[in-house]
Amino acid sequence: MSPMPDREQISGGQSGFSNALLDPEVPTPSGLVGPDGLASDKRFSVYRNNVMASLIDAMGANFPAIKRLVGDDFFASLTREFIVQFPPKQPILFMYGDGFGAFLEEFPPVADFPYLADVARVEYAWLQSYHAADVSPLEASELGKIAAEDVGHAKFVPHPSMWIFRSIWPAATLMDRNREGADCSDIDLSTGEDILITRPVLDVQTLILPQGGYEFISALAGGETLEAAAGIAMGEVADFDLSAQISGMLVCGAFCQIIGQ
Amino acid sequence: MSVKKIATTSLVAGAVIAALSVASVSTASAGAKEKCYGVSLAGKNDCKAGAGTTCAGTSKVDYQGNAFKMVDSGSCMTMALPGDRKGSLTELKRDVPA
Repeated sequence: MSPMPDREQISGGQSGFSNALLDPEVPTPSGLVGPDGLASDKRFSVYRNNVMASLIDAMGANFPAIKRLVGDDFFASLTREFIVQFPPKQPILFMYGDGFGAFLEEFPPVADFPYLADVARVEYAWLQSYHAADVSPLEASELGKIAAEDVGHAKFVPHPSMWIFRSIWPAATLMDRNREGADCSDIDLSTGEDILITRPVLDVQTLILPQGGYEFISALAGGETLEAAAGIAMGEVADFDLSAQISGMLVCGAFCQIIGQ
Repeated sequence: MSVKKIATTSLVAGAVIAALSVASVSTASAGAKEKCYGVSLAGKNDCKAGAGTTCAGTSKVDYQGNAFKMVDSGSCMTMALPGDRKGSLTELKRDVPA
């Protein structure tokens, strides 16, 4: 039976221990000893390696498209850097990687691949959408119950799984293709995408919105009335197709409830 | 100076009516999926829930009762499986490795 190390006796306590885990330059915390009573540098190195390897694996599971885009080896060194700078703040690994997009944007070695940041943002949003609370999406019939003269004043509650984002890159297409392991050579990097992620039932859907859709759905999600949101979108896009947008938002389950009329 | 367009009440109401006729058709026929337990081949079960939850492709035996696959809505209980097996929308006790 080996005695557990006394937490009080480890130099720096818990934070000293975790700092040493992520930085190989930091010596093994003193007080951490093996059964022979000697400092266990090798054991600590094994543990340190396991922590880093498992977090790199976790990032790979959360960002499979980024992993394929940059390749396994580069992904490992890239995420190692991210992990050291931004270690997990909570124990739920599928929530780890918030901020990976911002990190990629600033990380000099990937400066030549500026679209990676947005692909990472879409991947993270995809995963949070997958794990969002189960709520029935708004039924078309609910909207039909409202009198014609009142329907313009309806406001909508966004579905918990809904996320909307404007990218100057084809970030959704890059994510989908790379997650499927498909060919990406025909993707036009000069095409931006307005992206809507929803999970009406069990499957996450990644949609690329038609013109005006981003303005319309963002305005509704921001609490504007149907009439105001339509006005905003029509101001941006002359031939904005309002009825197609309304049916689209109902079919994809972007909203879950109507408030006020 | 930009011209601010106004969406009138009648325009919005008309668009809603047009939208509803489309939306009710589409929501009904959209390729809905359901979780179906006990139908996937070993290692082919679904689940892509990210780190710490990785379970995709972890089922050990064919038709494992506690592993699911996403299938077309309505097809789970009726699809043909070997033996007297049936798919289920909830976890099954059969074919669970020890």
